[in-house]
Amino acid sequence: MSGPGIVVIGSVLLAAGAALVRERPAVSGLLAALGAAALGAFAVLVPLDEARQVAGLSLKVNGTWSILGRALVLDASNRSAVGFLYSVGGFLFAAGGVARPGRYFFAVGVLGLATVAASLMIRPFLYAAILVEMTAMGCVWLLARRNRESHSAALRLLVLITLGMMAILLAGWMVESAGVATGAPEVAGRAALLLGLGFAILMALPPFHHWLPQAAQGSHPYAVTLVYALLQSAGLFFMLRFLDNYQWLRESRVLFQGIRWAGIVALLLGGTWGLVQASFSRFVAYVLIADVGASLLAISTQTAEGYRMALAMVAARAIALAVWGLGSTALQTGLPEAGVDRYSGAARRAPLPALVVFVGLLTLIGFPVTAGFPARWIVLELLSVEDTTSALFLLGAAGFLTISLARWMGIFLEGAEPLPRTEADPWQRLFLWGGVVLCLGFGVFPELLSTLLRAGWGLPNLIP
Amino acid sequence: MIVAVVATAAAGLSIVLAERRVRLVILAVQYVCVGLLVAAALPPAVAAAKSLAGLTATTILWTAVLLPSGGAAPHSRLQPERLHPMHWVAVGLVGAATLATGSQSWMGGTGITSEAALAAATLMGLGLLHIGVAQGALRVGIGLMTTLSGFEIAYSFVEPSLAVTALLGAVHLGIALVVSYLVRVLPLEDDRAREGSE
Repeated sequence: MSGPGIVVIGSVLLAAGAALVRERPAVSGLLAALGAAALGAFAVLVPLDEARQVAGLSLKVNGTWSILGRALVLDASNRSAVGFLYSVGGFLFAAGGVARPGRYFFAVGVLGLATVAASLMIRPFLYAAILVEMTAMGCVWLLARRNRESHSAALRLLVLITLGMMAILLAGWMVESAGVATGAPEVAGRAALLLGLGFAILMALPPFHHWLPQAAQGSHPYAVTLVYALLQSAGLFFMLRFLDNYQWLRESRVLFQGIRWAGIVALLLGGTWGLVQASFSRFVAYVLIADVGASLLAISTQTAEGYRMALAMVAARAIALAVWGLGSTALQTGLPEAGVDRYSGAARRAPLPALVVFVGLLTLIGFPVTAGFPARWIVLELLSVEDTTSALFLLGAAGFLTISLARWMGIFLEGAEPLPRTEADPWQRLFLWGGVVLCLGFGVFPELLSTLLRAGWGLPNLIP
Repeated sequence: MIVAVVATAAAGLSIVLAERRVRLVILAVQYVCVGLLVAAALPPAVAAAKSLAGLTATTILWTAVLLPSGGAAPHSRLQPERLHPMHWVAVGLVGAATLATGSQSWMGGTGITSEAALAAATLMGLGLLHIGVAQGALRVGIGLMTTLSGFEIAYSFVEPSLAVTALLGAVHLGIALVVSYLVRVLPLEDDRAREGSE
């Protein structure tokens, strides 16, 4: 038996199962959640390349699966990332049964997890870009609905990821074949530039972020949650793996300066554009862009602690996105389709979903006592020593977005007339309260995240 | 050189022509040209498979866009799109710029033939222009497939691996499926309303 084979084939079977029961979203969601959690646990815990006695039988799970002359390898360098991806997927699918984002959400979502996981396992690494392109095709399925914004977002995402794939393929060829590792500075500069372009597209960094506000406005919130969580995680893991594998990249001051500037631009754009948005959905998109900026600042510190915090932010982001997506789905039931007054009085009509939406957004902003805060605090500490300006940008963006969120809170609460309340069903209430507890629990007791931060991420050169 | 010129002309014409059937036929011709161009880097069977993947993608698009459906009014799907005269000017400018770039040795040291280098540059340039000026899913899809074809011509000379060729072929099929899904299964509400009123 081969470990990568079990993960990939298991995912395909799981997707087929989820598609078969697609008319019953709760069952489909539960199946996808349990299956993804099991595959995640398998990826992290199974002993690889060791014979073990199970019920009198000698079983050995190989870490390598050869297919079409290439290899998928599950080893210490990627098993934490693969396990993390499937755990996040399981977490999102569990609540997805309540959010009901579409009949094929779970099947396509599981396939998306499989392609991202395969992209982390494939050797040679340059094939990963094509697998991410396949993930983007699945994302189009998840994002598209019968409105112009979602169509446009889906097409833009497809175009951008395809261009990103070309950039990463060319960079991969330069890195592996054109002598970058042997120290040709000109080629190294070009390869780093192409890699940066590819990662910027994958992580929806400005100016490649335009699909995100449109998706937030036109697509199902929970679909946006999964797509963004998948692509962000893929982008970050790729970036960290490249940095871990190649010393010339790891030691390039210019590259890390570039990452810092990209982070500052994302924070600046997210903070200021978020402040002036007339649409709540688009405001959420700019909160997400600022959040990625914070992760990039963490990486740009070029310290093990900074890399750890970037990974912790991915975990906090996944929780916050799921909570926001769930709350937003529940909130939109009974709201007018569009218009400037869409959210006026929404919190009085549906108080619990509104609370959950705001808690999710506060976590993404990194507000104190939420799960997003501890990592940001440590990044602020790291930056305050070496680059106060960047630290001020991080604080400033959080401040701008908090002010903007307070303004939206006012709109959600406005109106003197009593409004008819829309009540969530018991399961929905359970998940909504669960989301609040998670966001605040990890913020009040940050040591709960310490297991994640201590985990071996298979990046020995970045996090010894 | 004739194949490169035909591929370039096909990429330009697919931007300025309004009739969908003609554009899809032109896309098929373009894929045949791509197969002929990459035959200088890949074994003939692999180059033929690349053309075949492209032709299959074109067939998927043809089926999705042009076959009549139960609910929608089929004649409205065949209405030619309105195009701005500036499209001709843009194609002329971008075509000239990419021809100038492609005729230089822009991928020197990789063993790429001058014919392939020219076609790669023009297809990528005109494909990007097509994406930039396009509104609907079909046009964006054709533009993306044209850009990708140009990239593949150049990439096949630096990485002539069978696995990459197969995966990139699958990408063309995937794009065709995604575009078909958007055009056929999930048309926009206003498009459907317009079709209903016609």
